[in-house]
Amino acid sequence: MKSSAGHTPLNSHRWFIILLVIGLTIGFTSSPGYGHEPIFGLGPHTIYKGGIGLEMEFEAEHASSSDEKEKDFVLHNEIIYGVTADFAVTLSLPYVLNRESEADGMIERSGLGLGETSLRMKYRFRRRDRRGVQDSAAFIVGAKFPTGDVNKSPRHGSGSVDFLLGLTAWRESLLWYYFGDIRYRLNRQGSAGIKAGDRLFADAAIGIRPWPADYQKPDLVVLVELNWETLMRSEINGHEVSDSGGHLLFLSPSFFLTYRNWALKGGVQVPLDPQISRNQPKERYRFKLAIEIHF
Amino acid sequence: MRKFLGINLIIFMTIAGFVLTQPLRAQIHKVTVVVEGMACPFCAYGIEKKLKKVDGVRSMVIKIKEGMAILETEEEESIGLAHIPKAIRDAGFSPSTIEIEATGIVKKVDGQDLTFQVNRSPLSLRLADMENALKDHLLASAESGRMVRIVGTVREKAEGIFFFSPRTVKKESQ
Repeated sequence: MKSSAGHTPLNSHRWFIILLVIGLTIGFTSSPGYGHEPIFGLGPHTIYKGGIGLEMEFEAEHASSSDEKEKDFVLHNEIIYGVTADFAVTLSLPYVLNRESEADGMIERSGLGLGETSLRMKYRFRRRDRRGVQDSAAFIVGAKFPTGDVNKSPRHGSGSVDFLLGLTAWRESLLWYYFGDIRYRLNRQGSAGIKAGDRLFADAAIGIRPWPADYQKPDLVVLVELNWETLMRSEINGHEVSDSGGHLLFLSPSFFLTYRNWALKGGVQVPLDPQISRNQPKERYRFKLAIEIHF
Repeated sequence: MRKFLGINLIIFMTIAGFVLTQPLRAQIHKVTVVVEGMACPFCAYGIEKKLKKVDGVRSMVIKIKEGMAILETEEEESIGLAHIPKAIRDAGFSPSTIEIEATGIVKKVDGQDLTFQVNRSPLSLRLADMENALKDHLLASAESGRMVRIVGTVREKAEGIFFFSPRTVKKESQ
């Protein structure tokens, strides 16, 4: 990798960049949604006033290039609280099960450890209810904190406080679901002078309930999501890293299966024509499976 | 044999008479509320949680396709109607039409205006939008002070203020 200023390749920082990108991809990109929300996007759904939701989500990611491979396995634990029917707060505690990186014949495995916790707030500012249909829109604001162990290799975080802003909207009906969101993640400089590039996300999804639902009966919704990510260039001590940044587009089939206050949901992101530099590992797949319960 | 049958008939008539002439108790027996925005069972769990906390609710049926929740109480209790709209809003939905079946006393206020008083509840429902024949019937009930069991639709005009449009009188005390 060469910096844009044409300095000597920063090989010693290569691992840092790779590992940082992995950490930031998982740590703050993955924001499990509540209930009937797209798996890989963030929807406007909240939880009833005074309600508490617990979610545990397993996430796996695999990226590779001709000479590099990266694998990530993370368990996200989330607690959601309904301050009001339109305002929810979520605390996310990711636990890295294993982070593996292979390059130049060397394999590094991080082992277990806490990832970077985040706090997210969602305010549903618009809601239109009709019989069997709900349209809603929400603002999302979040912050990620440097609780991951940056001394592990691969690292379990960036060592920086980063921020998330988003806007999301959807229509939920007895048969169809339509969803869209746009989010921006603002990354700040962390340890070792590294700043991962900011990220812009845009998601759209359509879903259908193949069989009519009724209360206290199993309910299935299947969705297809389109997830776009624009990655800005990373920086080391203020210098842009040329071998970073790009665009990613995923096609993501997903599902929700619920029964009363229990939900099982999952999906897989399949990359479509990633536009990133040839030296960066390309995403092969991302997979999520989660269980959620409301009290 | 005849004596045995005779005794059984007397016992039966006594029990039947007791049941049929039981005095009406003032209460809201049943509430059916249309919930707008309810489109998924997982989301409807919040409605169950909130409505279960309403006074007097002892059984509940939520129907997703019809978009309604049906609440019933037990013999000695009355459903706390005033708290239902807020419970549905706190669940993240919008209450629409509320139909009740309730027993109470019709009272005259300010001349020809009528209210329906359910003694177990501090709620006073202002009667409005009814057919003339039904209005005359209820005026007569108001004058006699009889308890009546009415089915009708309730509209929340403002928080805590309800208008009640009766549809039928199911039963009346003697």
